[in-house]
Amino acid sequence: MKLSNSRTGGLRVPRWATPWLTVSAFLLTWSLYVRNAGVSPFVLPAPEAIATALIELVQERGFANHVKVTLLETLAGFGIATIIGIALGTALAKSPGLEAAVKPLIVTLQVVPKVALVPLLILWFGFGPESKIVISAVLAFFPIFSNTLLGMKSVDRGQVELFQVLGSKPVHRFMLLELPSAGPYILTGMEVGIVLAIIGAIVGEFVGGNVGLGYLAVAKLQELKVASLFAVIAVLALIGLSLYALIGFARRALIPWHSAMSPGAPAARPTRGGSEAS
Amino acid sequence: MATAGAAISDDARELDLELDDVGKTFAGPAGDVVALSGISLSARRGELISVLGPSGCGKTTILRLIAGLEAPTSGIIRVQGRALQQDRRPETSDLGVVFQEARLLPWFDIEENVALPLRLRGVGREQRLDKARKLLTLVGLEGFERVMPDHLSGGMKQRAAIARALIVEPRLLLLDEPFGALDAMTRDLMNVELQRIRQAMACTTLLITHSIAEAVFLGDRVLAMTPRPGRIAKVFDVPFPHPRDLDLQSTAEFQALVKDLRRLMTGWHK
Repeated sequence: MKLSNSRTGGLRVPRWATPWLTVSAFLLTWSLYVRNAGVSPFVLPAPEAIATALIELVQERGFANHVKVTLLETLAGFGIATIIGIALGTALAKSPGLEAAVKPLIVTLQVVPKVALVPLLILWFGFGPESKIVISAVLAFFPIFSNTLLGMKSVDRGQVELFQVLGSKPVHRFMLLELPSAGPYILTGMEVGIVLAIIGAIVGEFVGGNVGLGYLAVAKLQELKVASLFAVIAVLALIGLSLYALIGFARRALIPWHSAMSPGAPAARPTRGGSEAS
Repeated sequence: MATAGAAISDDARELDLELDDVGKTFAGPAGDVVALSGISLSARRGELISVLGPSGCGKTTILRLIAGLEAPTSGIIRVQGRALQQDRRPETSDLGVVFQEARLLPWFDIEENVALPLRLRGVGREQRLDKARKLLTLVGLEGFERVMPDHLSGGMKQRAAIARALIVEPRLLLLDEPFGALDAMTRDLMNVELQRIRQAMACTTLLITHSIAEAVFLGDRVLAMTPRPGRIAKVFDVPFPHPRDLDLQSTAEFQALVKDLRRLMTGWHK
């Protein structure tokens, strides 16, 4: 076996093209495996069969409505989680007494497997979109809350003193210092939160209801249209990717002074690195 | 502990800053730590007082007490003749503070950073940025108005921090080792700049420093402090007229004063 040496020879592949090459190689391997290993299409259809099913799915009556419902549930749940998460995270960061009183309860609720609450939430909020919005919000809340709390607490001491010396009003301190300081943390929490919000909406639709992409996935499974099921999953992945990219866009628009951080791992302090080209 | 009222003596009117037997004790895990003890000083209008001391002698604590960031354990601090109380900081209009680090906000460009004190007072955007640009010119940062802080060198950041402190036209300027993080050459240059700026702005100044040459070069008086607990060991008058240029540092008189101070300061370490 020979390893290619990128310095001495071989093709020079532009950086932007490499992920596409990886995806293409993955799909090609998949396709070849399914054809040659005799895998039943009920277990794993070939990618081209899924592509055909996707084209059919998009043309189905009611498809747009399924997408719309899932998207609205996700965004509503995420919106509620963002508002409550930021408000509660800020309040707890401002008041150590409140934090000591409330945080243990929040953490305890957090370790409950929330998906197990789904049947209960459907019992309480019905089979309509409301229960899905609540599930979505419950799932997305915690990362936004905990990152806001962390961000508000990691405001630079020296800058707080500066605002003290300048005799700043609390509202100015919040708007001009604390919120911008916590911004990168909050957006990291939102990046995690948006993905969980989609999961919440889908799981809710699995369990109860007759509309939405989660429902559609279950329906396709029951019709044994496995390629269509994969197509639904592909649509969900696309929605997830778009929403995640939207938060990433918001990050670059709102906090351009801060170089990108990986989700779930807030940096200690904003650092200027060479990673801005990404 | 003295509990003098708010009565303003005639004498105090001439004094922008007075410390009367001020002490500060911090409660630590291994008992109380006396940081400062029996500190008395007074600064006349327009005077620059250098507070010179080794690391850990509590000289920064003096600045923090005056700025209202800490409360003294004993003694009285008066700014423009008015005593600071537990719940009363100096009027923000009286005060400009430059810390050891520039403490610029990374999400604002330089002119918004410099204009921050005015923004906090509700001054409109056009007006405050106009003023900020004038001060940026004064500190030699014209052309950098729209640059973000992360793109400036350490010396330029401190210039911006000085402009930010001066934008409210403070009567009292507190400088906490503002050039401590800079290299010796930049530091010399910044000292000359600071002198020039002070001639334009004429504000009473307290300079905290551990550099003997800097304390003498800029100061009208130098307060030499002992190591912890910080006390004032001796006050030196600096006779050289302003403006001073860097060549002053090579003169015999300057070096004699530096030598006296160094002997005094290094004496503690024996």
